[in-house]
Amino acid sequence: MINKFSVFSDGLKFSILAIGLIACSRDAELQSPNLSPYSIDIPAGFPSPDIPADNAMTQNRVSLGKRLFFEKALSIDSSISCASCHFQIHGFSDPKRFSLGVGDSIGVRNAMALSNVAYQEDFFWDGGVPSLELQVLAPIENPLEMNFSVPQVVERLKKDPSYIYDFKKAYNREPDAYALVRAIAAFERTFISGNSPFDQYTYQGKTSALSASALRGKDIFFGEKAECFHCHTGFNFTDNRFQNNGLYSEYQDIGRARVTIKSSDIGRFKTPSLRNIEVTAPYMHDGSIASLEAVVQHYMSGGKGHPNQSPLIKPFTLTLQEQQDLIAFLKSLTDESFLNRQSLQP
Amino acid sequence: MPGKPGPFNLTFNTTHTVNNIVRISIAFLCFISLFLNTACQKEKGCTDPKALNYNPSAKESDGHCQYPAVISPQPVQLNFHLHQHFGTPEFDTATHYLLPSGVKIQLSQLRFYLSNVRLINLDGTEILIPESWILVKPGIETFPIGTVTPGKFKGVKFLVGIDSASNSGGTSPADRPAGHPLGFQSPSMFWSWASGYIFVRMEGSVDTTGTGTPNLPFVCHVGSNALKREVQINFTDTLSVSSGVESFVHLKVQLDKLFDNVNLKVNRNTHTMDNLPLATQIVNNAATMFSEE
Repeated sequence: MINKFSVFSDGLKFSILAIGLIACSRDAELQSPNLSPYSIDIPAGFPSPDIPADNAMTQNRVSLGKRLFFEKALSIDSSISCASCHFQIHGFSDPKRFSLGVGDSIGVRNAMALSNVAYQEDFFWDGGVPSLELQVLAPIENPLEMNFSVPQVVERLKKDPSYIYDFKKAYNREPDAYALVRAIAAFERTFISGNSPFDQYTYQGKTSALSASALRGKDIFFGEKAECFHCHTGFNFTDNRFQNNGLYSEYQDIGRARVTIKSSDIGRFKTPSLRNIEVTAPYMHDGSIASLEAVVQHYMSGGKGHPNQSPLIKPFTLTLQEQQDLIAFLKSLTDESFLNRQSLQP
Repeated sequence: MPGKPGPFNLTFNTTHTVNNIVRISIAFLCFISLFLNTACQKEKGCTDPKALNYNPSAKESDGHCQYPAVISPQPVQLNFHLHQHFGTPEFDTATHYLLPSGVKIQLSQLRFYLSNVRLINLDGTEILIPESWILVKPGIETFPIGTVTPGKFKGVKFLVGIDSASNSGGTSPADRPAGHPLGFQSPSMFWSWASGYIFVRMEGSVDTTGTGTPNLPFVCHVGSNALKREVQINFTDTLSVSSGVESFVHLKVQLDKLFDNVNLKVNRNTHTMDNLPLATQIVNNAATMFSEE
C-alpha cells in the first residue's frame, strides 16, 4: 500500500511538474513571439523571392496564415474562405468561370491561380494592388466576394482565444489588420511550384521527364512562329506585364486602364504564369475560353484586332500534331507535388 | 544767511594745518600708488554683452558668465475649424437641397480628405505640418491638423486628397492604428482593389423627374494621385500661433460648389476611372470651395 501510494504520489508530482513546465513555456512563448524562421525550398532554376522586411517568414506566421486562408469567418456570413475560390488541386484557381461570393454573388473576373505568387510584383488582372499583403484586403471587402470589412473580421477573431494565442505567437500582437494581412501573405509565399516534368528535365537533369511530343511542343513554344515565350518568359513563364492579347475588338472590362486611366491600357491584362496551366481552366481574365485547345486556336487566329493589341499577336498556322505537341508541352508545367503538397492543406 | 560749507570749502590754519596737509598728501600718494598697482592687473569678469552678469569694465573673461535660461517655444496644437455650408445654411445629410440648376438633391454621404497642410511664413516660406491628414465629415467643426512651432503666418496651403507618398506608397489602412484618419473607415475611404484612398466620397439621390423628390441614387468616389488638388488661403489678418495656446484656422466650406457644372440628372456616377470627366470636375470644384472665415 505504502509503495503504491508512494508511486502514485510521485506520478502526481511529475504530472504537476510537467503541467507547470508546459504552462511556463506557453507564457515564455507569448512574451516573445517565436521567430524560428521558415525557409522556403527554392527549386533549382528559381531565384529567391523578395520578402518584405516587416514580414519575415516564420513558422508561426505561415501557420497562422494557413489557418486564416481556410477561415470562413473572413466573410460576412461565415460561408466562404479564401480556399472557397482558390483550390490547391487547380493551382489555387477556381474551375468556375466566375467565382461565387457570399449569397452566391457572381464575380466579374476569373479567380487567378496562385502558383509562385511570391514572385509577383503586382496583383489582380489589372495590377491595381502593389503587394501580396495589400491584396488580402480586396476579397474581404468586395461586395461580390466576402462582402465584409477588415475591422469586423478582426473583432470576430479577437473573440477566439486560440486566435489571440496564434497572433501573439506570430506577430506578438492581438489580432489586428496589420498581422492579418501579413500572415495570409506569408502563407501564400509558400505556394512555390517548381517540380514539374519541365523543371525535372531542365533543371534536374532528368532527360526522360519530357515526352517526345512535349519536346516538340517546347520548340514550338520557344520558336518564332508561335512566339509564346515573348510574354510567357522566364522561370515563371510571365513577363509580369500587362498585354492586350486581342481577345475582343471592344472591351467591356477595360482591364489595366481601370487603374492607370490611360486609353492605351484598355484591354490590357496581366500576363499570367503558365505554371500548372493544365489544371487552371477556364482561361483568360474572364474565363471565356474553356480549354487549352481553344486557347491555341485563339492565338492562331491572330486576335480580334483591338487598337491596343500586342503586335506579337498575329495569325499563324500549326498542324493538328503541332497543336497537340504544344499542349503536351504546356501540360509538362503541371507540378503534381505542388498540387498535392500536404503542408498547404488545412 | 550762513552758506552751507561746500565740500571743498575748507579752511586751513596754523602749523597744525601744515602737518595735516603732509599727512593727507602721504595718504593720497599711497592711495594713488595702490590704484596704479591694481590697474596694471587687467580687471577680470564676464566679457559677454549677452550675459546677465556682463561686466563692461572687465577686460578679461573670468569664465563665469551667467545666461538667461533658454526657453524654446513648445509646439502647439493646430486645428481646422470648418463651417460646412450648402448654400446659406449649414450642411446636413437630411435636407433636400436645390442646386442652382433647379435640380433637387439629398446627400446621404459627403466626406473628403485634406492633407499636406503647410503654413506660410510672413517671408513666404512654408512650414509643412508633418503627418497632416484630415478626414472631413459632416456635423463636425474641429479637425486636428497637427502641431506647429509658434509664430506668425500669412496663409495656409493644403491638398484636397492625399499626398501621393501616403496614397500609393504601399501602405494601407491595415498599417494604421484604429481611429487614424488613414485607417479603416466606415463608409470605406480606401479602394482595396486599386490600393488608393477615396479623396472625395459623396453619395445621395437626385430628382430626375422634376417632382421635387430625389428619386435616383448617385455615387461619386473620386481619387488617384493625378486628382489631388492644391488650395491656398491667404489670411486677411496674420495668424499668430502662441506658446501654450491651441490655434485654429477658420475656414468656410461651400459644399454646393462641388456641383458646379455637374449635371447630376444625366451624369450621376463615377468611381473615377469609369467616369474621369465627372471625377475631374468634382475635384476641380472641391479646390474652389474653401474661403477664410
